[in-house]
Amino acid sequence: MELLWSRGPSDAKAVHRVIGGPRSITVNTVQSTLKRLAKKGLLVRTKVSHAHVYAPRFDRETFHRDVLHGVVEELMAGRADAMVAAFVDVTERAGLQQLQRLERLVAERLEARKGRRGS
Amino acid sequence: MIVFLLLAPVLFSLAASILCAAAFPLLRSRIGSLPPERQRTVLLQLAFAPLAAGLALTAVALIPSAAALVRPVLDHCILHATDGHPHLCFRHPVTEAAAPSAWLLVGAFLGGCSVVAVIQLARFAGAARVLRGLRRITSRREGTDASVFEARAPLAFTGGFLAHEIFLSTGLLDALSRDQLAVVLAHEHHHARRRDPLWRAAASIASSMHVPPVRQAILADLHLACERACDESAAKQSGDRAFVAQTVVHVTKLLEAHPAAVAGFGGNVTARVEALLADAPPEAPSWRVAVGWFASVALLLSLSEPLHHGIETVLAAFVR
Repeated sequence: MELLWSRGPSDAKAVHRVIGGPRSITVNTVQSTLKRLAKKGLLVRTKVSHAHVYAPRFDRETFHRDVLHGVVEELMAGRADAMVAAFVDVTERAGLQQLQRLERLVAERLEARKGRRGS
Repeated sequence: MIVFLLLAPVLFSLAASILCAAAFPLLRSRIGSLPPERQRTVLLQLAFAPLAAGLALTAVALIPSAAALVRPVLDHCILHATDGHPHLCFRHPVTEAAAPSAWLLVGAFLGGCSVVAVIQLARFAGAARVLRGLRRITSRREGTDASVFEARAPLAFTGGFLAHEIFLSTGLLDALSRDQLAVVLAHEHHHARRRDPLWRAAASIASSMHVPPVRQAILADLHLACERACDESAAKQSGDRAFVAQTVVHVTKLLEAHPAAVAGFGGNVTARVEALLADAPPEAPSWRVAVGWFASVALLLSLSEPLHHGIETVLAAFVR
């Protein structure tokens, strides 16, 4: 995706020339990856002469914003809970009244400490 | 022989599971009075207890058979050849056929545990997918020692199984003072150091042999103990327990006020804040744990003969 955003629409051979060598992958691997991305709706495929040319369906900003939105939505729904330890769980619900009670308790403790320091 | 070798750990696990269920109400209040770090350790051991008991007691019960295999002079099967029970012996394998109830019990037990384990594994796969997605959109922010992602929701957590990473949302970073952020990071660093997500995940699978209500209670208590241990670590680092309590309340308020917050059911915040407002828990001497383990292993090894004969006698009920 990064390559297509920076270079613009390209066919599999052009993509392979840039990333194939460093990653030791064949043109076929690049071709099938591009096909899969097109199938997922992330790339648009058009036929130019004998080759298929691939272009990103979304610009980089839109893509990242959508991905981010999806991930945060899943986090807020607690779908990562099985693998995370949070400072405060997204499913944590103390309720406003209880939180106000806790706030009062903390404030009393801080006040009492100030008083002790003062005297 | 194979069904009896499978049945032995199942019976030991079942016995341990029933024992844990009977003792848990009493154990729970005793565990609750321990310092949080020790609570975490004991609850983890309790979560693994039926699984560990099944494997360890079977291994110990097989010691006489293994000894006879190495030194034939120790073979004792001949002494009770006419007892009519299956011999858990490698030299004289079981010749009796297993009753259908043996297969049924092994199948039901292993099947039930496998269902729970598969459900848990599916949850881990879902969580791993979310974290993979998250890693793609995070960046390092100077001074935070964490991966930061753009979101208004006030989120801070440690994620991953083997490589633990701390994640912070920009919404939380913007809403916290420098000192509050230090508390959050100290809390999360303790999670990462202790590999809490990994241990809690392992406990959720290993505890599938417990009676369901006991399992749920153990996992809930373990969760709270992990959070309290991290709060204590943050309190030690900041030197101000009340300030850590204030930060926990502050972040909870931010989270509850967020429009994307889902209806939740967790109730750990009250217990955490009240514990932070109480005196710091005393440090428990670690030698007690070492002595306890040593005594347990010594006792277990000394019981190899009675366990061997005991399980053979019980297995007699499952002979056709």
